[in-house]
Amino acid sequence: MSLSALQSRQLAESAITAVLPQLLSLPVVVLSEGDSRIPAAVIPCLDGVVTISEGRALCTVTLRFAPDLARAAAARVFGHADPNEVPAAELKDIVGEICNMLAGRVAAHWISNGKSCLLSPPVVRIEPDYKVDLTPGHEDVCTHWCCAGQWFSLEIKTY
Amino acid sequence: MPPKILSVDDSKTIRVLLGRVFRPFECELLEAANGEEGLAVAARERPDLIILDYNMPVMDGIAMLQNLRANPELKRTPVIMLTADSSPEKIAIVARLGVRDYIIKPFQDDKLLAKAARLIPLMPRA
Repeated sequence: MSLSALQSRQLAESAITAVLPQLLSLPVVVLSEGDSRIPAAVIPCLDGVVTISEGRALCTVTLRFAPDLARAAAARVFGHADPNEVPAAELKDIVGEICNMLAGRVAAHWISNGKSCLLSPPVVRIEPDYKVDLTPGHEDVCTHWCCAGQWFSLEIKTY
Repeated sequence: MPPKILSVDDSKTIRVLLGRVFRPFECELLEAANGEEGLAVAARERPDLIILDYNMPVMDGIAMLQNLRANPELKRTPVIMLTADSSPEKIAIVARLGVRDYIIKPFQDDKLLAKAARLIPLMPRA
């Protein structure tokens, strides 16, 4: 069961607004296509990925954080005065847990449609050379956001 | 004796956030990163409440619950599930294993406290 572009956007927006502001006590803003805060150059990212399956993969949920945002979020949760002192393990933990919560919200969509969903453990990796995909239509599955002045994105790919 | 609360979650983020919620209250907070560690801490410390994740490496929340319920000394320990997973099948499984409440992440502090306070005495720290 794939999602329409509108469903995908609505699902992403409802998941992000339910999770991020509550977890980090920071407001989030959805960015429109062409917004200057969406990075145009190659940048490093911290990616969290959860696969939702029902025997076969239904969907992957990918959260991409600019490293500065991951550091700011982890410093806030783990109580570090200096975001640059956050250990890598804590950066991965917070990105993975946020991705896990977002995937839980996305899975609820399938559950409400009678599917029996399994969530994979979150896999977090550093993507040193990420380039935002500006191919027409990609915005149907990927929403861009700003939190604490930093970009992040949520991609929901259905199969 | 202040009540002991055991948080079993593979995410340090969740364990830290739970610590922040309960720190203003007279209680002892214990932690474990998976079901196997959780069982060992539970056997040693006899917690008054366990807050348990579902998906964890080594031993998941269901297996830990089954082990708890099979242990005569721990089988009555109240458990609140705290998980991102809202599937009705899993809720039914843990309900059959005597889970007292089920909270979907992210949790709201006041709701979690209200549910915990139904199971253990929570007095503000002096």
